[in-house]
Amino acid sequence: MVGLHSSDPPAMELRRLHRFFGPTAAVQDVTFDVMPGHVFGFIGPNGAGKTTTMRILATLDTPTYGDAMVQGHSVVNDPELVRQAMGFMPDGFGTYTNMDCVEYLDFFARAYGLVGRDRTSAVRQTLGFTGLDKIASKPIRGLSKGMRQRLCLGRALIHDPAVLILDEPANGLDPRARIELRQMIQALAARGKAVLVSSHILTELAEMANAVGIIERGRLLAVGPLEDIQNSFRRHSKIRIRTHQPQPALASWLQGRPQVDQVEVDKDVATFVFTGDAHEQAQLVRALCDANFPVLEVMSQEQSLEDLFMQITTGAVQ
Amino acid sequence: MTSISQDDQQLDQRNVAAMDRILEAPSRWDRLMAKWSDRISPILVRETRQQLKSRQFVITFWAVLIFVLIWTIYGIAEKMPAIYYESTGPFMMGGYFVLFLLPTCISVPLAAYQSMAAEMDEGTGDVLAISTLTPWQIVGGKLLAAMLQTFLYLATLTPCIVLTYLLRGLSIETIFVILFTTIVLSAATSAVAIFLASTNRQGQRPVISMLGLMLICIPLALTWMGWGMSALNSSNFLSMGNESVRFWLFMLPIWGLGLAYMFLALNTAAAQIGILAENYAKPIRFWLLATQWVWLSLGIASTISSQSLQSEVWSTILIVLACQWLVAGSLMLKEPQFLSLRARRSLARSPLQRIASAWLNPGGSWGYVFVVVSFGSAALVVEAHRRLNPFGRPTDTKFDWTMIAAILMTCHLVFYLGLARLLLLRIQHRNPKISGFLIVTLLLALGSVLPIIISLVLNGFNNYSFEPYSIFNPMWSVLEAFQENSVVLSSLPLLILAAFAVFLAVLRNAAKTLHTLPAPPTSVLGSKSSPDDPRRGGESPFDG
Repeated sequence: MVGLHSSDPPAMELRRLHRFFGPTAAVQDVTFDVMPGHVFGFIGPNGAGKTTTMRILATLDTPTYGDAMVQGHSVVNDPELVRQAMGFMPDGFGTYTNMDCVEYLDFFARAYGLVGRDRTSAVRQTLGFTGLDKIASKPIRGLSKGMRQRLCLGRALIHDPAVLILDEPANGLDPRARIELRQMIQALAARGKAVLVSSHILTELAEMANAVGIIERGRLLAVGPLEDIQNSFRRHSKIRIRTHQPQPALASWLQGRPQVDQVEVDKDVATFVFTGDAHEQAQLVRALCDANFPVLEVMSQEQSLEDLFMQITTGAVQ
Repeated sequence: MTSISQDDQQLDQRNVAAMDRILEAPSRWDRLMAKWSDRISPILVRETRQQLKSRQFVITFWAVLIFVLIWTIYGIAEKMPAIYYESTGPFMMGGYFVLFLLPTCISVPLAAYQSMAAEMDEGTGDVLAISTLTPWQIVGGKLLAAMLQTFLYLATLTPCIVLTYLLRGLSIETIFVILFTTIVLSAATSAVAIFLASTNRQGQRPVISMLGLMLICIPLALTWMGWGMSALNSSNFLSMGNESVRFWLFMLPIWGLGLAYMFLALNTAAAQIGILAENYAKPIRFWLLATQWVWLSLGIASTISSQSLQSEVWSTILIVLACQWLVAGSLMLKEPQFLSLRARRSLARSPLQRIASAWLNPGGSWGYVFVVVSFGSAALVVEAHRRLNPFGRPTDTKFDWTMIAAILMTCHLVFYLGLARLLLLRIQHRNPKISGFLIVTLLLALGSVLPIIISLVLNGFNNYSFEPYSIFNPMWSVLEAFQENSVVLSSLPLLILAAFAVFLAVLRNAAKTLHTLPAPPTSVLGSKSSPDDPRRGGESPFDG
């Protein structure tokens, strides 16, 4: 469980969260924590229950059973206090007509109860952080998708919340805008904000998330730091060995070893699947050297988040 | 390169100016306004900014200005030279009244509707809902923005209205009544517009709600236009306005009705956009009850004005109330019984107090009890008024039959709503909100048609007449009561028995659904025990 043993209290806690829509179980027994300064990646196929969970956290829905706490406030009992501590960026982004960026942010600053200097400085800081200060006077309807996402992120940040919930923020963005968004999220985490972010772009998520939760059909299948999940779900790793000059005997030597499978040798490079753990892998490398093979390089190809996702989920929908 | 750099500089300057315009008030007046704007509804600030840029508002505003100018020139030219010695105030005021009424009672509600509908359709409603603004502040802000438009139109017309006063023939009271009633009507229709828009869902084409709004606004505006114009040309109205305290006694409930329906619509809209953490049934039921009391006070005002009991007035009020409770009751019948843990924690500790206040909680059975008891209490108030009013009991039997009609209406409400509730307990419908309304309509149609068919069959399809079993036809039996048909009286016990049986059956179900106090909240971190069965113990608002 993420950060359960840390001395800081978690910024977000979900405990045994359930949500039923009639007979359909949208969310079932979801439990995890997100610590301050951490980015938590929430991944799952469409209809897995990510948005429902996020909407409950954002106080837009109520759980059927269980509870969620944001900064120690229950989404069931104290939604007003949760809203003050939380910024939510939904998947769909509605805008107001006849408004420009500065008017939009000014309105939400007022809606969060900011007045006077607090309001004006919050708008200025948000415009600066999101890079919207250059287009402050531009009507919202004329903004590109990337700029709209920045504005939406700015709206979620306007009251300086400790917790950010971002539902598919990178959806439909070009690579540059995606990278910039990732940098902004990392910068926010560096400022101590807890960020819960869902995304289908798993490589992006893997780069910024301290921990991930994989959800399917409403159930959390795996949760924790990526390495922990990789270790717990690791069934095999693909190992690549480069030797000094081609070694014809290497293939037969490898095939004679336990836990080694699918050996392929191409000139000075041998690749094979190894089903042992890290300790056994180290023993294998030592044995290679002891057998006088001139090893230049050993590379273990770890499972990526995409591999893990494909391994853990079944693609079933409800 | 130079030109690009100049363009960039100009763009930067524009952005800085835009930021300063909003964030840094350049003048002392602007600073004062900015400071003041911090104290008012953020929705009002935003809507005003949007309205000032809106093409619809700009066109309507300029059209009103131009027509006011045209009417002023035409009116003065038409009345020349008599304008110097005749009272031409009512004539000129008639034109200004129409020019004030049309935008405020049609264009302003329409703008309020569009604003709320856009919020629902474009997904900004969710973003607003998670701000620190309460649903009531959101709908209240929308109404304030609509009223700001109304007052802008009023400000435009004020010099012209002053002119009508100077032209003689109009008292200050008359001008006040005409303008204030128009403002109340504008506020009530705008609130209804906000409520109708709040019933729209994302991606749906809001044809029905828009049509409903037009069907409310246009007839109301035309009716008030007719009354207002006749009032301006009526010496009775003017003299009443000037002299009679009774006139004000009569006007107060009229304005009260507008305001009560305005608050009812706003609370219902707030419930539509709110998240089910609160008990939103409570304010809606309170304001439904408030509208009933205002209707009853209108009846009492009519008694005081005419110094006698007016059976026609009381009959109309009872029919209006019966229809209102029938619609409200049918919509409540399939109301989810959901009350969040948070709302349940604020329930009364004592079981007796909880039972006494159960009608304020959501739920079909308790909604039914609330509706029938409310209308029953209205009938009792009318009877008490008949017995206790200082002007004595009416000498004719007309009022006795009005009370029999009141008993009939109460029994019909109890019977049909109760029957629908019992049916709904066994029927699942994908749209619970309207399923109650549909079932009640179907039952009423059956109850109306079957007695006629039975009568026709028994009479060999030659004719039909009011028989004891026809008492189950609501409209027919009430009409017969007003016509003092003795068959109604003789068959009334049959209806009372049927209604009582249905009432007991629903009450039995209501008793089962009394909300219980939840256990004191425990730390969720410590909660390791598994739920027995979350589906069975579900608190989902979708579990009808």
